[in-house]
Amino acid sequence: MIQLTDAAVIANNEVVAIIANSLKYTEGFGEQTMRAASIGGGKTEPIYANDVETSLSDLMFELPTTPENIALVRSWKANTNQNAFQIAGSTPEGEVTRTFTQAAVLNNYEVGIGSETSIPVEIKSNPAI
Amino acid sequence: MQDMMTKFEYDLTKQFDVMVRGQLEPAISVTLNAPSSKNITECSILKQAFFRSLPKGEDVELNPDATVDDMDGDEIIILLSMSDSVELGEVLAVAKKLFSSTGIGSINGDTKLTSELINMISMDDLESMVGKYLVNFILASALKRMKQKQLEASQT
Repeated sequence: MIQLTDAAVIANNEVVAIIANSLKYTEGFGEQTMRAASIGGGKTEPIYANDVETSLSDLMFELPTTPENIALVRSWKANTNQNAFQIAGSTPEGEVTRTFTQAAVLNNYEVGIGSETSIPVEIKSNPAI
Repeated sequence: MQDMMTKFEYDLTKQFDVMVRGQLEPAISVTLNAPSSKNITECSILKQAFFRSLPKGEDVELNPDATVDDMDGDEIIILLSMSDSVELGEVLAVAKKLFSSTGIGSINGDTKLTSELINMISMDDLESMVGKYLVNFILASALKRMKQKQLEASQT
């Protein structure tokens, strides 16, 4: 088995260079709960519930602090939820592609200015497809 | 004087998805605008490639009465492919760089044609687009200059 160690990030049809090993995402299946309902006689039946309010994907990565990236993240913020992102990674054993539509940068991101600083971006979107 | 075209629209034969305002939409057509002096390097390379691909050793003259309607973009690509003086791969690479320049290409008339989107265009579509671009913009200016020279010569 070969670990997937990097993926291309495409934001609004442009490839974005990110800090290595900083990319993370969630599939957007959300959170579920399971409760036990009593059916008598000490027996229970599991009740599964899907919290649709949490059915959004998260996409997180860090960008190097460059004037271009500072302007880029500002433009994503200004677009509200009219951004679209795609990640694509592969190993000799297979590939993974996920698309995040109606994406918005939600965090009040910090722009670190220094030799090894970055811009951490947190994005929420429709469930990844 | 032949009117110079300022842009043309190419209908993609193989569609793909493009991100538009947060959604995925099918890319149906590519609109390509005429180049400006900002694109002087790429245009010069493409123009030289075409003229270098023309047969040598004969009196070859562009028919000044010919219009761009008489030229076929696909025939231009075949001409470039058959030439010993031209590397088709380099021509296509230069064309890709030109099409992704600011103000040149757009998908469905409104989304900027980026390098990433060009990489999703099929080879057949890309070659047809390059051929048509050469015909409508590169060759058209050469024809215009020849007609101007002819007009000046007839007036003297």
